[in-house]
Amino acid sequence: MTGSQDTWLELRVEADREAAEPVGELLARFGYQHALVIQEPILDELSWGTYVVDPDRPVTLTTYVRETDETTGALDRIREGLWHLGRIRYVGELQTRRVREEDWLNAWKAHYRVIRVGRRVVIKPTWLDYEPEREDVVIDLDPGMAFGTGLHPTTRLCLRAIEEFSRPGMRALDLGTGSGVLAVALAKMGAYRVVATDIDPVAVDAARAAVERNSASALVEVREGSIEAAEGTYDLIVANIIASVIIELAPSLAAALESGGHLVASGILEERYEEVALWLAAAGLHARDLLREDDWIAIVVSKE
Amino acid sequence: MAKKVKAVVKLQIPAGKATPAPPVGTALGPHGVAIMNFVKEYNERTASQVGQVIPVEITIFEDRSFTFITKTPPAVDLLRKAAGIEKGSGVPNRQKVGRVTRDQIREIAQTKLPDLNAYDVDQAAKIIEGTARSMGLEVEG
Repeated sequence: MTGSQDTWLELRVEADREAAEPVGELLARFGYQHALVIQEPILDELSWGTYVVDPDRPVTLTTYVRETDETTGALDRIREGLWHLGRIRYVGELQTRRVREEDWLNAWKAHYRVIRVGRRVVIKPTWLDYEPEREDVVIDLDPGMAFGTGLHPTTRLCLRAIEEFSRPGMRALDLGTGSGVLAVALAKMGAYRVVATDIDPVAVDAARAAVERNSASALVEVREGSIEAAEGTYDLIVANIIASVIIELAPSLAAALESGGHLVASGILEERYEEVALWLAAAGLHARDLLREDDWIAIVVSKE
Repeated sequence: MAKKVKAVVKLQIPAGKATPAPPVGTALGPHGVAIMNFVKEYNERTASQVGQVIPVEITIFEDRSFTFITKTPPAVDLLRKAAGIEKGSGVPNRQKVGRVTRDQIREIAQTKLPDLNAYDVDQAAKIIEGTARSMGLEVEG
C-alpha cells in the first residue's frame, strides 16, 4: 500500500476516559511526530469561553500516519494493542480514513479577510476584491503555508515599524521573510532594493510568488538561506523570527547594518525581551523604539 | 468583551517542533485557524522544553482567532522516562515491561497535579499508578 506525499491516513479510536492515556500512547507510538489529537465529549454548548466535559461518554483519540508499505503492519499492531487494552476498559474499533492535504491546508482561507495594519498598509487576500483609499499601501497576498498573514501580532508590529522607519531610496533586508509580506511592504514604502531570505524552501516559493503578484520583481530579490545569503549592508533590516535566533545572529545583524541604519527585531515574547535587548546592546546596537501587541514585542535598534 | 468559543482542540505534540503537517493542520485547519500562526506561537512558547511532548489546549473563537495553554507532559511520557523504557506494553495485563517505585509515582503525581482531577498528591498518585499498570509497569515499594 503506497500513497502520495500529500495523502495521510487518519487513525481514530474511542476509549473510556480511564483508558484514554494508554490508548493515546499506543496510537502516538505509530503516529507522525508521535503526535495525538484528543477530543473530549463536551456536555454544555460552547459559549463565552466555558465548557463542561461529559465524564460518561468516551474520549476520541486521533493520530496520523503517512501511507507506506509498512502501514498495514503498523495497523495490525495497533489493533492487537487495542484489543488487549480493551480487556481492561472500553476501547472502540480502530477507524481509518484517508485525508488529503488540500482538504485541510487551505480551509482557513475561507475566513481570511482584508486587514488594515498601522496607518497605511492593507493586506488583501489574492482571492478577494478591495477598493483602495488614497495613500493605502495594498499588499496582495496568498501566504499558503508560509508565516506572515498579517493576522499575527509579530507581523503587524513589523509593518508598523516599517511605516515608521522606512525612507525612500533605502536598501532593506527582510530576514526570515516567510510569505514575503514584509519584503513587499518595504518595496512599496520606497526601498529601491530589498533582499528577502528564508531557510525554508516553502517560504522562498511563497515569497517569490508574492513579489511577482505585487509587481515588485525589479526591487525585491528572494534568496534561500539566512544572514549569510544577505551579503552587503542595509539601511533597514527586519527580522521577524524568534528570540533565540535573534540572539544568535545579533553580531551578524549588526555587521549587516549601515551606520545610522535600523534593525527591527520581532517575534519576541515579553519574557525574553530583556535577554534579547541585552544581546543586541552587546552587539553595539542602540535601543530606539519598542512596539508591543499582546505579549509580543518588536525592538527597534540602530547602529551609530 | 469575551468572544464566543467555536471549538476546543487538545493536541499532544513535541515541544518546539510543531509543523503544519497533521495533526496540527488537520485539527486546526477545518476550524479556520491560520495554521502557521499557531505553529510559530507554540514553537516559541515551548522552545525551552524541546525533547518533551507538551500537550496544548487550543480555544478557537468564532472570529477564528485562538488562544492556547500548554499543560504538563503526559503521564505516560513521564512514566516511560522514570522506568527507563521506550514504550509501554501492548499486552499490559500479561506482559510487564518495567518497574517504577512509589517515590517515582509520587514525584510524577506532584508534576501532574495541576492538570489532574485530584485534590491532593495522594489522589493524584492513585491516578498515575493506574496509568502505570495499564502501560504494563509494575509498581513496587
